[in-house]
Amino acid sequence: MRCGVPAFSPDPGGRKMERVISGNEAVAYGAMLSRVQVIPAYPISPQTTIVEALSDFCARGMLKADFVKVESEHSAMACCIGAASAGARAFTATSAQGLALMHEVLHWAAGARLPIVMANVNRAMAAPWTMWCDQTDSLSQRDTGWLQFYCEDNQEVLDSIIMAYRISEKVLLPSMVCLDGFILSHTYEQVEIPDIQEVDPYLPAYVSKFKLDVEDPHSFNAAFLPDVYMEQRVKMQEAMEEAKRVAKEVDQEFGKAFGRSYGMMEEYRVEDADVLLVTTGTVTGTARVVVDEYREKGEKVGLLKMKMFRPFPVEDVRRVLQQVRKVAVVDRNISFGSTGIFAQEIRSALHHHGEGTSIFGFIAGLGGRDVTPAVLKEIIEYTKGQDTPEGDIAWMGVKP
Amino acid sequence: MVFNFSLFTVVKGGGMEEKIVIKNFQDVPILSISLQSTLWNKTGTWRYLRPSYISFRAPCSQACPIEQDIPFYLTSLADGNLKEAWQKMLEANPFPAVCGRVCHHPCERECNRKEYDEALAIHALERFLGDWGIKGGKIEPKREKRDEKIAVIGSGPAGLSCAYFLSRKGYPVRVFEGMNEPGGMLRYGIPEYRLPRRVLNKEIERIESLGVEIQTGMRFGCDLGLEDLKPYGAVFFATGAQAEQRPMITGSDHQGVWHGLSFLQEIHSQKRPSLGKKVAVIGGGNTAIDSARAAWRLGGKVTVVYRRAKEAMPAIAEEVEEASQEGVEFIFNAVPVKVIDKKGKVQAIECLRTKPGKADASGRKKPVPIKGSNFSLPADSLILAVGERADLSFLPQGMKSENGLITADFWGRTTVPGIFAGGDAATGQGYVSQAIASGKRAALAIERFLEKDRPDPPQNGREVAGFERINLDYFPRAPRAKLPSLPVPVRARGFKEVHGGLGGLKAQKEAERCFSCGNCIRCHVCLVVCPDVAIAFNEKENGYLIDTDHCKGCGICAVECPRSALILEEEKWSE
Repeated sequence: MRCGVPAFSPDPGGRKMERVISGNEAVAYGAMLSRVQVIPAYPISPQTTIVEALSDFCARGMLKADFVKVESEHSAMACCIGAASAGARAFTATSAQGLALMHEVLHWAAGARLPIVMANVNRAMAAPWTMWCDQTDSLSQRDTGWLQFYCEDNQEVLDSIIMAYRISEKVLLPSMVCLDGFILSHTYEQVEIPDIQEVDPYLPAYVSKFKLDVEDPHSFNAAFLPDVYMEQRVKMQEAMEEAKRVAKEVDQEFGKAFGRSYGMMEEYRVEDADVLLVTTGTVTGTARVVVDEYREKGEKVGLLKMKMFRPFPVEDVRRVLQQVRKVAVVDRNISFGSTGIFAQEIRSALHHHGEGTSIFGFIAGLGGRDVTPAVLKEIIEYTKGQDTPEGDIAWMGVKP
Repeated sequence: MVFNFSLFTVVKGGGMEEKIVIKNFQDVPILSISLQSTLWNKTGTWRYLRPSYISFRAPCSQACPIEQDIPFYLTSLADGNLKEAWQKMLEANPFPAVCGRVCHHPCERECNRKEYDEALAIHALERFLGDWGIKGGKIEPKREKRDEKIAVIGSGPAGLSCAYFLSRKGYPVRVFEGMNEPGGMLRYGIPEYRLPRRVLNKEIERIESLGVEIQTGMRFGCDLGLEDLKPYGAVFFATGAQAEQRPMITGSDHQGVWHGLSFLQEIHSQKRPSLGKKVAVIGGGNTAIDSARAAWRLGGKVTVVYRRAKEAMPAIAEEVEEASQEGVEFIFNAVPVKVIDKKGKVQAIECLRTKPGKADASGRKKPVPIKGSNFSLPADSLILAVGERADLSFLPQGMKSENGLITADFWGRTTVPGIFAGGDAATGQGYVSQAIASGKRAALAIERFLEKDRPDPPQNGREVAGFERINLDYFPRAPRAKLPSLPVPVRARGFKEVHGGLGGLKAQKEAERCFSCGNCIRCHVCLVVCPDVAIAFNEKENGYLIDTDHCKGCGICAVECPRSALILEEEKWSE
């Protein structure tokens, strides 16, 4: 499947325009509008058309960037680290096994405090071989020190890439922008592509505070002995905390500049809700329709969309969920031996902070199985019908 | 957030350590960056392998009889620097436009690129540069003048080549030619459709423009003799091989029987001999193929009879191929034994089939006629082209070898000091580039002789860069450039040149395909990949400098070099 390189593309100096593009093209446009300078890339489905589009932009001279063909995802990230260390704005994209192969260098990128941005097209992990969507790939990288954002539609994908650079370059931690494989990556939607003349003042060129310089060489990232390593880790955690504030600010400013903002999470019809769905990624779009249906019938069902996963917006989550009697968390992932990962995070956030709230954890849509309105309704009905959850996991749609 | 970039330990140049005390949380930096420059850290001491730039011999240059530096001029051509390319070419070859048409181009047979996609079209590029030179090239004037006069006997490729190189060194050279026009076999043996006279004349004119005097109509042995050469400091004999060998065949004096070279000379003097409808050509060398293709152009139905198999033909393979395209037919493994005549006029050729017998001195299997295999080939005329010998009747016996050649060593020195010889008369090799090479070698030997016997230089022993030395990742596959050629029906109407030249853009693109095996072309790959930024380009020297203080000897530069112009050697640290 090659839903490919756009037939025509905006001139970087052109006006804003609306166009029907795929999620992967939205990523590529976002990167181009961010004027990324180095793109080391390795192909993997369903991400490949992102780097195809970017290499096309480079070849046509629409994007002045070094496109580096590398031999693996590990090298792609290593190359991003080199480029970012030298002060360049670096970008790459990957999926599933590719992301897993990067694991070692993901830690390095964060520890070295490099504001790299990467798109991850969510694809379920093999074995067995699969190409389809779930979010276990990126969620299992949650402890690497990367910021993580999950997008609902193609417009949000494009906008999030630009915002991710603003946030990362402020807090000096790398960002991962995630979009659901095929459901967004290969689906065409109407997207407003901002005018680069407006993006430039919003996202000025990156000026690194410290960078590799052959004229004045210094040693970077040499060993920290036990007497200081821990303090450095505290500072990374502080930067994560800082990112919550910065991300909100960046999002608000984006709203002022482009008329769209997303928040780090979005409360949808949550007022007086008896049951609140918690979703992320494309399931959110389906959930909005289902919630509307319930509200029309006069039933108090609401929705909380989680956009930012790292840092986890604990305070905001508590503020919203403390008010609700029952919360149904839809996880398109599984942490084997534990539960759905969003459910874990939410339970942990509410511990000691929401004793009256019951958290129902559902796992649905693994390996590309559709999460339809019927599935969500079943989740809501189940939650309505129980006082407290029967267990930590309720599997949705598993064959009897 | 407050950043603090102090590092807790600063290592000073002399190995002294200075502790920086971390007093509180604020003092811990978010990442470690050394306060001091790391330049003091001579990581070069870690090295056990040392990269160094090297120039291998390219296989094409190795195969070229005149040892042209093909990668060098192709790199200049790829860079669009035609003047530099042409001048480099002229340093080794006085006849680029001629060679670009008639050389047997062994360079292409050895080209490493053929292992990858297709060999580089070196022959066509040589012609392109040669033609460019005819239009716009200017040759550097000779620097100093020498006193000793040199005589060259014969103005074929060997003679003119010797004259050219000596003249470029400043020697006054006079060339004596027996025919009415200079050029030897280039003029009288190669038909126009392969080598237009205009091209030959221009290249000879350039040699004359250096000061070489060519005196035509002076046949050695008739119009001048050895005693006339006394005023000369050295003499070079390049009298060629024009005496035609005659096969053992009865009836070869009938009307309608030709000899290859005299037939080609006839063609050259614009005569169009009447050959009849069917022409048989005997032989498998270039003269045979030239005769066959010329006869075809006169309207004949031509059949070539050769005593060995196709693969054993000494003729240039492309020429044989083109003859076939034009409709020339071939009968292999057959010899003529008798001309069948009617009242002294050729009617047919009686032939015998052959089979390969024992190998002769040259290692080739001698064809043996099969008894009773007679067959008759109808023909109105017969062209015999079974080889040429040197006619050395003018020379004293002591200077001749048993095989009918002038006795001469690799450098062309004969048994008589001051007398040198080359070309077909001395080497017995038949290709134009080999003749040019022998003239060139003799010019160098004459120079050394006149400078009171300077010793011979050592043979070029540089290692050849084989295909395994090329880093193919750097070379996209690309098809070989094709020369435009006349459609066969148009060729039949005359002696117009069969092949056109490459256009400038095509030539440049083709030159870009060159791997430049084992020779640095300043592509900067080494500089880009060095993780220690230890390689710098020196604009002035047009080369690279390796900072051995910091080169760790990782070898990435040598591994990545697209053409093995960098090698790794064991580092020998002197204690």
